[in-house]
Amino acid sequence: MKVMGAVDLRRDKDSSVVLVSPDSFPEAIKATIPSYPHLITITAVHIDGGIELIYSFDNLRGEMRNIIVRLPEKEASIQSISSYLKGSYIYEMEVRDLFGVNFLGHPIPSARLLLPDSYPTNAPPPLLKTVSLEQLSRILDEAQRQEPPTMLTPVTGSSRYSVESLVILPFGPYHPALKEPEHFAIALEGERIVEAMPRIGYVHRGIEKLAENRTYLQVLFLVERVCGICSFHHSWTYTMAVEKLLGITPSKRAEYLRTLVAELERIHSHTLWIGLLGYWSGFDTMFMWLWSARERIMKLLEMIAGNRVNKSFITIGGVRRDVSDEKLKIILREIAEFEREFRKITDEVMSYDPLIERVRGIGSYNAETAILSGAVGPVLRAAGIPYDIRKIEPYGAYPEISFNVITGSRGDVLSIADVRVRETFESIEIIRQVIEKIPSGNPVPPTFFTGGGRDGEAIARTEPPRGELYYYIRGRTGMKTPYRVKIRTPTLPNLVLASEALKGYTLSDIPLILTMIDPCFSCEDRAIVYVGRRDPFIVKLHRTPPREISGGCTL
Amino acid sequence: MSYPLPLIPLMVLASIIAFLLLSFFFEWVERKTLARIQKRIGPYFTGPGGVLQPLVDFLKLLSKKELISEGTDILLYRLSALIGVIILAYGFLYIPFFSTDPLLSFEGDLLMIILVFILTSFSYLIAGTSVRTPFTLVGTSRLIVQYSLYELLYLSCFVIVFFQVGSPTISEIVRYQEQSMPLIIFQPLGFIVAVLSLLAKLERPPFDLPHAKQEIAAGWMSELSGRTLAFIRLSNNMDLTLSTLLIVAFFLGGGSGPMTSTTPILWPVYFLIKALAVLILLTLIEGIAVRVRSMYLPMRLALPLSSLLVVQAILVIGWRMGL
Repeated sequence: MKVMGAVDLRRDKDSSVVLVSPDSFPEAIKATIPSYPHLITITAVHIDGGIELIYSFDNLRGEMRNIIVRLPEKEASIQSISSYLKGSYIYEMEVRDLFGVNFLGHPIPSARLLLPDSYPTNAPPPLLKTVSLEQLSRILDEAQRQEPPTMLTPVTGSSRYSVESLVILPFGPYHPALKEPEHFAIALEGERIVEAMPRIGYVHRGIEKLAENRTYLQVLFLVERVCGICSFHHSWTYTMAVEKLLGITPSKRAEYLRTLVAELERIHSHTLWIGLLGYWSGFDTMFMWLWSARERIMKLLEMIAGNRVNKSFITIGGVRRDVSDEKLKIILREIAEFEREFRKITDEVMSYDPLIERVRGIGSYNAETAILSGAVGPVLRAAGIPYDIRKIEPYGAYPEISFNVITGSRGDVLSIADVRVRETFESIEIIRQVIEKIPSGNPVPPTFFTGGGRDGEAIARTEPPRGELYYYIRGRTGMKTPYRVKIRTPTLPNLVLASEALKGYTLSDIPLILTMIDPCFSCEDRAIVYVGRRDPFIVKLHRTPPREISGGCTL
Repeated sequence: MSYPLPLIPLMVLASIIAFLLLSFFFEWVERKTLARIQKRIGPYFTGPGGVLQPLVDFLKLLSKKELISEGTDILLYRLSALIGVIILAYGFLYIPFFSTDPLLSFEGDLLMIILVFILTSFSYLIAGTSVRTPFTLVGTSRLIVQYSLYELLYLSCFVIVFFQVGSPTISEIVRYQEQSMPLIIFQPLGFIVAVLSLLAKLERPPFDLPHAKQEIAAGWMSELSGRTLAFIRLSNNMDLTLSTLLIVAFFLGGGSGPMTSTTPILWPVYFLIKALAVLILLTLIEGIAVRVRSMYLPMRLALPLSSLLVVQAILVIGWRMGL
């Protein structure tokens, strides 16, 4: 059976794959963008003495087109496509950092994004196959010992602003509004935001590099730790890609149980965000109420999987433990109780005028901006685009379950909040259907998967609470470890949109606008640098202070 | 009623201690009430029902290491904490908490109280300006705007009280209410304005802009730590206590109630009960508040409040002139 939701490249002789030469590449891109406006990501693979770039596009209806171009290993360079698609510049910077590919005509020609500032410029790019983990560890260790810690000295040479009227406010890396380390230099004129310059990358863990050094089963537990909130979706997407690559089919019951846990995870993530909306707008009571309601879901997850956060529920070929009928009954009962409680709270807070007035029209954007920035998930759906992987490319038990894709009418904080509230109720309905329709059988595979890979590649996409999650896996026959694992988390494209939406609003709105995308900076951890409107700010960013490095897992 | 001279220092000391304890108690009531609104438990372990928690927090902060950032004006930094606490403790001596006659009193001590509040705001201000980092800068500028708007509104309420009573002496105002009725009956609008502007003046939600943690970390308090933070927090609590007590004295008739003329011990009891009622009212507003956006601060709230106050003033003056 073909695993739903996964597209196999080349092996199926899929028509969605186009191989082009570097010379004809710009024309191919130009011809693709009008019908495939959503750039999912750029995947780079160092293989057979060259670098392969895979540009994955989607037409927002589930049809993918992958444009593949091969570059030489030494001094690889290619035309940047950021003039056609604004959101692509982040992916290009990521590839430039990790593979040393030079993008001609890139709006930010030299800035570092993902690597620490102390990473030597003459050192080899870390994700090349010729670079070992030990070598990376040594490079970083030496570089960080030599680098003196310098603190933020924000702006030099900005003739547009008189110095007196401009305050550069450091927002992060450690800030009460941000759950994770992230830095924004915010230029304020009075209380109004003139520019916002984000920088990510403080907790870059090099998971993609680590994944190439572990067996298929070990990587499952590694990718689960990419994100603390949608941890199950990461392991599920990875598993889906591996099952597609190796042709393993999980049992029906396993697919239903996976869907069950995934939807519970969506409910807890959305409840968490709606509560945080209260926190960010200075309404602590709402925050406390919603988080206490969420506790019920966390207890359910603990009952099902044994863990609250990193559930480790899924395994290649099935799930790790079955859920008994008694437990399913408890879930039904508890979810009804949760629904009553959640409906009561959201009815009250979403009709509370001071809150509505506080969030309506904040951070507004339109559908076109959202698509060009590559936005995904509730952020895109709030602008009216019904882009939901569960519907357009059904996986798990979703093909057999009826549910609606929730969309809003305009893009702003209120609309996104409304979409998330309605999606939570939709998830509750999905859970009811899953429990009603769940088939019997044994969802647990007899042994854990211990085999190796085979030649081929697979793409898997799922819809975590924050939006489309993308995994690309390349295997090699005879290798116990994956040859390449590429992860694209939803926050990265959404952040492009958020920093665009910040301009013109006031300081009081920063927490709301930055967090309307439900950012998960540590999931993506990649850095981006803001492009100025006319003459760009020259921003010296926080340097990583020297630190002791032990073991091989430093990057 | 006047006290024998040798007793006065002792009574001042006793009053100040009573005031400090009252401030800690008020903080506990506020925290506990807010916790109940938010479905939490609140202070629990220290003392019965956690009533000693604010005191323990204060003592613990005193023992913490103090970090003073580079470029701090040490004189202003130290002075700010002292001014706030001392001035407010002094202000308490003018409150008729234990009987109709406060410990210290003179003709026109209403003006004295106004001075106390202005100096307290001044102490916050110099605490904010003594350290010049981006967060304190933005926080202090918000603080200045907020205080200049709402401190004025709060104090203007007392001026209207003065219009009606005709005496700028606190004990006269309380006695006036004892003989007729609490002023809230005559000046409900003045009471509403006083309560709302009190929240703004004390930086309580929804007016906690100067230290809105989601936006500017701890705002003007970002660089405070250890002892200084302990004292600034204490002075903010004392500010809350004193302002609440003043509202009780000016609008709710102080400690007057049934049988106070025969048993004077009931006076502070009634006073405390009324103050707690005002405090719980304040906490309820805090609990359901969504922080206002900075740009709405002057227009959306100060304007309607001052209009209310003008209406109240016209009514009171009209009544005085026998219209």
